[in-house]
Amino acid sequence: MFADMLDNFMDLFDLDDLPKEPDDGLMSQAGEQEQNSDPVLVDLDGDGIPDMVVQQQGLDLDGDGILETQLVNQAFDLDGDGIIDAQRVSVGVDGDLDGVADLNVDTVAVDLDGDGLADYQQMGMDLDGDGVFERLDQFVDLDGDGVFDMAHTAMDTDGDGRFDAFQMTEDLDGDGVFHGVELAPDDREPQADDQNRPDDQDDQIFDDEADPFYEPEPQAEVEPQPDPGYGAVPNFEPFDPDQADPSKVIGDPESAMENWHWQETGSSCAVASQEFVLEELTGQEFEESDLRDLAEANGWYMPQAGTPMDDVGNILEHMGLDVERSQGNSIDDIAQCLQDGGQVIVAVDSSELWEGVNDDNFGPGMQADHAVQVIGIDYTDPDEPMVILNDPGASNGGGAQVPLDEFMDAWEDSGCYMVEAYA
Amino acid sequence: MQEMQIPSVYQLIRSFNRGEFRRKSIPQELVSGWPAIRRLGKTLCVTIPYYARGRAGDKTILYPLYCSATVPLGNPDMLLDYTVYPHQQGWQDLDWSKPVGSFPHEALAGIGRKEYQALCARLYDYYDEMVRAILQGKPFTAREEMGALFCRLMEPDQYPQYLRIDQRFYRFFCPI
Repeated sequence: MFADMLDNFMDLFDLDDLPKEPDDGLMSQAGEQEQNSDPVLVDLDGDGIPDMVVQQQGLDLDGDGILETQLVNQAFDLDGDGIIDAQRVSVGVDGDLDGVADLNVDTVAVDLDGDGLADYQQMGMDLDGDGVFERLDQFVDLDGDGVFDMAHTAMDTDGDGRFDAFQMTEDLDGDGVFHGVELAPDDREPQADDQNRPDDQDDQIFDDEADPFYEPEPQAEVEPQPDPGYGAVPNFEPFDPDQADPSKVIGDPESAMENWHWQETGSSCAVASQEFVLEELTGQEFEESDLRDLAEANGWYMPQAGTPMDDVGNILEHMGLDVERSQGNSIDDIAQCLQDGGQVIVAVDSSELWEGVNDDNFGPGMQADHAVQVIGIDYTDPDEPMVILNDPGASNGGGAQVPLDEFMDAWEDSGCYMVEAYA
Repeated sequence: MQEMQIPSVYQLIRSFNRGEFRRKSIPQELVSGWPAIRRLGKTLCVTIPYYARGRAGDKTILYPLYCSATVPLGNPDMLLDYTVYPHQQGWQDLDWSKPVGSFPHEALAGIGRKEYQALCARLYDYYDEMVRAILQGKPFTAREEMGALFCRLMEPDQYPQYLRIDQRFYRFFCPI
């Protein structure tokens, strides 16, 4: 098996072409253009099966006949399946031949999905040979197409050994142009072209290269910006505590509606709903993007598709909450959960919720396509009780009030499916 | 030999869409598209494609076909195949983060919701006639009528993905 692993590694990283010569100390081999060691197999976990391949190479980059550069190539089989899934390449350049590298570049690439392409890569640069990185670049391939689409750069600009400047950029539209997406605040004056730079004006890989790096403190309150390419604008009225009789309101919608934000992708309603619940039950802030990453890594969420109904609540369980899932519930079951201090997510038919339309336009039996949080029930008007939602799919979904009968119509399409969560 | 008793294709898909596999494994945000009838060995099966839709203001936007499930017509509880297309060779050129079209498409311009639903019901009736003809070993005489209706209802921007799933079926019964 390991022979295959080595072959894969050789093919994947083009090491077949490296000449194999005895290694007598790479940094001391004067008069050679390059000097290579044989690959060495290492059993890191002691199970008798090699899980790392190491190869060293000495290079004479300036052509003076002295091998001033050392390259160490390490390939790892992290999950023990016999396939290389991570590689580390360390390059040290000893320009003054004092035996100490003056420049170090360390690159790590990880293939998370086993397709032979790096999904994550980081490159650290020690520019003064003190063993501390002054710059660290990280790249992520979010969609697995072999092209990195997010990048993060950290720099130590004052040489104190701590990163003090950061920049995050993305190329989510895959056009090869990276855009700044998250900028920590600084004290500089706002620049006219800091934001909303049109895509068609980009003509270089990092179109925010001209922007300076930013001080990371203090943390900014960044409101999620909805993607204008999706989302509904139903005729929701938000819950107004001043118009309600507190004794007739079940739950704490005034508090819970503060957690609402528009879901950050077209398919992340269940993730966003779980984020609302987490924040309400724990009092902590969470980022939807972090929870999406968590759910995707565990197979609970598929980007561009969404979350299977039975996987709604997995994030909450992962975070230590008690979760119960059930079908065939009534509005009284929701009320009971809220009164018991729990939080509720339900599966509904978005067409019925947003438009009051119940049809099979999109496939037989396909009505329940959306997850929302139920944050309260308002019985102030006994003739028209209102269910109060945090609907992440609607632009006005925070504390959205829906008449009980309309809510029931939308909910019944999932067989009144409900996820209860308790701290 | 006694004829196999099967539910209508519409009812079978409805049942599958409300079943355990759908709930456990297919993202709830996906909706089902036009099925393909295919024979796997001696088993007559239905392949149900799924795709994401979304709202952009008052428009319904459609994304590329994302996955499909195949079950025998006589036993919808027996899953024969479940394929997620973004992970398949031959589908890597598609971008599932971007819509490929909107609903309703041009061929449906001006028709109301009830009329559209009636057309869909009629198409499913044709599916049932086709299945009966296959099971009875008789020619399917309504092929042209079904094709004309299918071509009208088929979302044109998703048609190329339907062909990737089952070119023979869709090109024969929906010859756009």
